[in-house]
Amino acid sequence: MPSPDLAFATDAMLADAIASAAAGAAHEEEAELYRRFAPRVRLYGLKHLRDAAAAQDLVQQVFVVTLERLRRGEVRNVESIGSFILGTSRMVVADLRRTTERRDRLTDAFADRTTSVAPAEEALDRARVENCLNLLFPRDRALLVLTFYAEKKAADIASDLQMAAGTVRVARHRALMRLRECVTGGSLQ
Amino acid sequence: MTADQCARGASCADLTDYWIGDLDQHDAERVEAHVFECAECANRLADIASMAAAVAEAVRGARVQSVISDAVLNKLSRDGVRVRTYAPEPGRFIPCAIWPDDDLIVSRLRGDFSGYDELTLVLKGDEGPELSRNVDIPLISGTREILTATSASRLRRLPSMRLRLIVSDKRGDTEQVIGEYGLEHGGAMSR
Repeated sequence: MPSPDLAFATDAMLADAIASAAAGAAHEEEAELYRRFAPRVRLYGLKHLRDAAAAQDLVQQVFVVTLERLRRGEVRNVESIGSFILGTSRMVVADLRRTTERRDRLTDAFADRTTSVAPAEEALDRARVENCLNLLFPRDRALLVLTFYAEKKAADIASDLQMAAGTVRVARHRALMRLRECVTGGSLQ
Repeated sequence: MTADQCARGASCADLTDYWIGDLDQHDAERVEAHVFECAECANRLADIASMAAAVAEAVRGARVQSVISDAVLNKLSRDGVRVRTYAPEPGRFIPCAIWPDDDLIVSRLRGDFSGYDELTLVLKGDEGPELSRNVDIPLISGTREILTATSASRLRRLPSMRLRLIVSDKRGDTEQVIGEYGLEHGGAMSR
């Protein structure tokens, strides 16, 4: 848990404190910045690299760059530290992709692409998710299966189910909300 | 994740679309930039991603009962899920059983289901209560069948019995049966 003072500090205040301190001296601020942004970088990695281990590597690389640049006073605008971390994430992912593409060309036949990976260390109660999924309205359940298992885009689902693509997007978001509400202890609507 | 917008006015539905990859590059980058500025949306996105992964895992584990498409069925086979398929004809019973290796049982119910407002699928014992009722099931366009998937572990618990799958449409207060399909369920078999 962050100290109470840090919990109320803005992202910019943390970045400024790291930049203003002697290199490496702002331990607590660095830890708090990591706590806030590491999950976002990991999600970014999961989205773009589609591999949990690669996403975790991305977090480490991005924070090495971010903290080094902050300590050296090389982040010009600490007010936009989130934007800086996103930019660094994009740059590192582009580098990783180039490396991965080279590797994939050699090992394509053995590649193991995990298409849906859990984004956070915190695990959901899988049995509860399954139970809630089976309690959803059939149409909601089918939408979630088509979206998250078959990885169908809204346009494809719209064509399959003779719905407008916009309607599919709204319906699947609501279905996901209903599922989430059930899983976290609420009831189904 | 109860409101449709975060405190800064960003759409929660956009986060779902972003995670699925249903936004164009410009909108995806806009959402990304917002997530790196908004802790609330970062948490929401983490929630969405967790739920998405859990749904995929549940389906891959053959633990979801749902109407599915051939695309889903093909992906399940590619993922190594052992699927047993039955295709009962309307008005007739065919023998069926669950074998130890089965993960998922798929029933292909053939018929012309187009033009109906609200299709309902009921599974019931031949002379007994309903075992399940699914109201307003989706129909995959361009097909003349309903594919319904049931976990083999669930069916394995049923004793030997005659099962009926009944597809109906609701007109006002009355149900109009469109097709009845029979399965002579032999129970859980062993080799």
